[in-house]
Amino acid sequence: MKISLNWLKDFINVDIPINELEQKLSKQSTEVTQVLNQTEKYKNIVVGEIVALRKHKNADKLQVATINIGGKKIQVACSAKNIKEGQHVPVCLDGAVVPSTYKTKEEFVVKKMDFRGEMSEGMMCSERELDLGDDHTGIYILDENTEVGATLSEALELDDIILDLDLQSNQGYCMSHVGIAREIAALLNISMNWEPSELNLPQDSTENELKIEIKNEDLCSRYTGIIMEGIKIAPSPLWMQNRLRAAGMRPINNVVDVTNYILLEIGQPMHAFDYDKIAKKNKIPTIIVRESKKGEVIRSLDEKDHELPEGVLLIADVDKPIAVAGIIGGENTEIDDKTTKIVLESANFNAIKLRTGSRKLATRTDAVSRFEKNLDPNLTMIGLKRAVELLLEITEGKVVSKVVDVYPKPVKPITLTLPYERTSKVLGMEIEKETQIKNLELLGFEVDDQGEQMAVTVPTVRRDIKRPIDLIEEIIRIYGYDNVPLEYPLVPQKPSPLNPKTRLIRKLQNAMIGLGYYEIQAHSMVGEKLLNDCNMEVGEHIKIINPQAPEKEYMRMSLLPSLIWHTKENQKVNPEIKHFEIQKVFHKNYEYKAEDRLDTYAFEPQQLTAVWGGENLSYYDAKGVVEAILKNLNIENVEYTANDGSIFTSKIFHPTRSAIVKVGNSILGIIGELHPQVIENNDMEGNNLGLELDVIAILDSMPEQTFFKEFSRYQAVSQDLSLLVIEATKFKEITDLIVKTSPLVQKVSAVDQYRGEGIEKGKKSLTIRLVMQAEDRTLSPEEIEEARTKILSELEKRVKAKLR
Amino acid sequence: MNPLEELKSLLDSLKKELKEVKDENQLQEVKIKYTGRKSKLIEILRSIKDLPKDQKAEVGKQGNITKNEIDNLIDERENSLNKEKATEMAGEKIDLTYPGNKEEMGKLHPITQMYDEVVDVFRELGFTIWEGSDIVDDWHCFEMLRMPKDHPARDSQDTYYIEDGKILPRTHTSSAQSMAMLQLEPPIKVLVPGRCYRNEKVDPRHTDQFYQFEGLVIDEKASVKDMKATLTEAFRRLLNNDEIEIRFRHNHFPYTEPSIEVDATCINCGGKGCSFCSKSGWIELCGAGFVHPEVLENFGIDTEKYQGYAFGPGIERFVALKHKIPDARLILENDIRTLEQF
Repeated sequence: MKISLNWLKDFINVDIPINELEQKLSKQSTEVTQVLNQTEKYKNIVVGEIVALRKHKNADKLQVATINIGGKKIQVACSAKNIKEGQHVPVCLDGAVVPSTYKTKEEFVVKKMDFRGEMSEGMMCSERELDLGDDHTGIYILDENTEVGATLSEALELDDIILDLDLQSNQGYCMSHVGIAREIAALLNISMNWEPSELNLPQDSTENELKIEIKNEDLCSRYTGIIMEGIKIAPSPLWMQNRLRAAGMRPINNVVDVTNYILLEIGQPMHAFDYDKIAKKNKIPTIIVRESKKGEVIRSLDEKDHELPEGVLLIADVDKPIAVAGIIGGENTEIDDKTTKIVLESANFNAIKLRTGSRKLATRTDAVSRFEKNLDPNLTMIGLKRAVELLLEITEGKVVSKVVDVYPKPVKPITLTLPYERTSKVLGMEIEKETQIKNLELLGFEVDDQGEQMAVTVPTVRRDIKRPIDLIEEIIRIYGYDNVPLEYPLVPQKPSPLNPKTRLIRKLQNAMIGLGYYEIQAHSMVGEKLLNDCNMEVGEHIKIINPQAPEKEYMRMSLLPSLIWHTKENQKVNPEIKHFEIQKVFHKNYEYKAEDRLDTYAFEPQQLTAVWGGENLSYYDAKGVVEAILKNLNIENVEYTANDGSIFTSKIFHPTRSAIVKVGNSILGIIGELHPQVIENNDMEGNNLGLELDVIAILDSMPEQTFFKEFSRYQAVSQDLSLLVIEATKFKEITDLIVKTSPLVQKVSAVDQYRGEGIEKGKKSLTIRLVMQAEDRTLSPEEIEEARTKILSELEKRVKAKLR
Repeated sequence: MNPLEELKSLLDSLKKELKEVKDENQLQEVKIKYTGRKSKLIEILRSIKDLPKDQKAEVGKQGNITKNEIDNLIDERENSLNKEKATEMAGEKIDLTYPGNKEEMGKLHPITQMYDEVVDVFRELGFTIWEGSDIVDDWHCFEMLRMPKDHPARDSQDTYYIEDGKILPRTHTSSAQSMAMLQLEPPIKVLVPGRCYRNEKVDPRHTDQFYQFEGLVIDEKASVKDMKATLTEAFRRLLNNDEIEIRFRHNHFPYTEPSIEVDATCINCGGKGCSFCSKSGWIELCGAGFVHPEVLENFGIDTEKYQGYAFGPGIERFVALKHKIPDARLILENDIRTLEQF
């Protein structure tokens, strides 16, 4: 919202530098997003008189004007058609900044330049280029009484400073110059010079009657109207035009400008209808406030045709809609040059109704942005009186009806009680009673000091103030947060431990980094194509009903697809890149009950997932990683069983070169080579591996405590056995057998397995390493040999394994 | 040969052999050969007792002299060998700039690094880390926070919807306030970090997925002053700068009263004003405020006794500030060329 400093000066005496005012407003009231100085803005732009005009020698569409800029003449090339000799025009001199290009609205700097063979020493501008209006059909022709050579600022009295404010949704009371003046008065602790107009409007019927009918008073709490005639439509005075422009509005004519002026000054949106265009019943115009029926049409003032959905709040006469209430007027009752008699509307409409209506019509106006902030219905009369006052002053019109005011449930000020001690408690420090009272009074509240507490009468314009805490906020912000000292200690609280899951996640993060994996933070949403490319289906994924793109339509049930996607992308830079992610996945909770506040719609377990690729990778590389991680967490008795398709992501993995990881009955997850189809679908480099482990399952498998175990300090002997075994024989069978056969064997590890050339079909070569050690002595060569012989014979007998 | 001659020839052959010695091992062999238990010298020395009396003294004396001489010669050669070795090592020039044999560690995503830092800093300040659901219902996300349907504040939080629109991925971590208040009794001092989602067009300043950390303090003595001290301390630690000033500005949120916008001195220009802070000298960090009594009442908390504050900064903001990342999209892109920088 744009606020004119000149306008504010009608009500308050601002005597601090503008940047201080800006800071104060931003910190204690509403954010100032921009400060614009018109004198600066129109620097180097002057009033010029076109003294000669001729065709450009090289371009048919251009003219060359000789312009007197006051004691000096310059030559300007121009393509506009509306210029004539003798006219006064705005001229940007060399180096001037044109505020708004007609297309992009960006600034640009005028330079003296050669224009196809003719020198152009400046530029004439349209209203739009000067940011003074919308017109760009030609050069802005100035009044002939403007002084040639004067700056445009002087000539048009553009000497204002404009504050652009970003108001909050509860600051309806601030949406006017009076509102902001009151805020500033409170912030600066100064008095405010504004009283509502005390104009007397006729209370008895005069020559004209006006009927107002509100169908649903919940949607329109008040409608105030009056008829005026003898109006002469003309441009409004320059001071009014300038104020409208400063506030970002385009001047139209005196009647419309007055209604807009009231909106900007007091915050009450108003509308004027052409009396003669309103349908009459028994010669009486009737204003009806009602909801639209489906299919009704109206052409709005901005020349758009709207086919209305059902339930939009309308202003209608007995025949037709004549305005969309509080949003935009209808063209059929528009004020035009011939208008002499008007009906003025000053009403209060339901905030939510207007907000939804405005959305349905895709029309936002200055009126909507006020009404949707829940305006005070008591403003309608204040606004109407002020409007009539101004119209009497500038249009030669007169009031020809009584004021009709339909206001079934008048809004009365509320009174709140606030103990002084309460404010201090919220602030965390003593704030004196006198300060509390003064701060509220500055903002227009009436305060009755009752000793330990105050009774505060809230002006009806402050519809945001409903509870004592709202008053506390007002007191504190006027007091100023800057005045709250930085003091410790903080609220004491028993420090709590980091929860075990977070602690585990940090361990897992460190483990993965240590193993060379880079973490990814992928999007929680995935698309159907990626799922399909990963052999998965949409199935039970939680669906976003208003997705931005097909790639973000489902909440992911596994991290693997997005991780595969990111790994593939980064493989283009580094084919050996290794990635991991630890995040939530989302599974629908079919037991969800909306009424149970503690129940949740989805299960959101966290998973550790990794994907990486490389030329010579196999299942055993994936397994090595998992073994390293689990060993680091002291998890023992881990089993690796066939990927039988029972895991949600089973199909992402190779059917045989992958395994389900278990500890006891608990499934930790799945690991292995990715399915060749997945690798192909995703254009990945080399062979690719994946792992997916459930964080909670890992946590549950971790021993609660680990205790010291005595170990033998006698010499350990290691022995390698190269065996020829039947291909189907599992490593685990052999190790179990060996451990069972000889108590001396402490550990069996794998050195190598091989099948192919040199090994008969159906067999494989397996090299294992035995570590033998006793608790109480160094083993003798005889003992070792004896154990070895026994082991070999058992192996041959039980699993037909032979020494190679 | 008589023993004296033998001793002399021992020295001669030792000198010859020492010349041939190339390294420590060979020297050791020579040493054993000439001074070991089975050496000629020891043999001669042992045989002295069998010599005629007149030769005993002479040979004995010469034997000791020779032994010393042998020891000296070997020591000398050892020294010269060491010197040669030192010279040789000094002469060797390896390419120190040639890359090391490959050992690689990964890295955490910059968001995670900041997330962990946030968790640590707030734990230091006495907060308990709490977890909220990403997918919540309308009540947790909006209604209990005094944002009924059609409330204008909802406009600023474009929402993704699930099912019939009553379920949604949370637009802010404030939705976790309800879970904390449902499950915990005051005094409460929790921090809930997590992902949020908004159906916003992705541009240099916005992403449709981001992290927030919601702080919630409900206590008899929780105050505006306390909130200012807490946030100042926390943000100074997070931005690793004790000089920055934290500024509170009046604002409005439906679920807090008073509501506050929290700014920090621009860490890029130190408050002088630069393009980073749009020349204002300040950067916005988060919304905060005093929990509205109606919100507390929703959870049966005694508002006569308890009051409290809440705040909800975004993590990406801190990541961008810390690393001067100009475009929010870069953080979510996960390009390895970005990730390996931090």
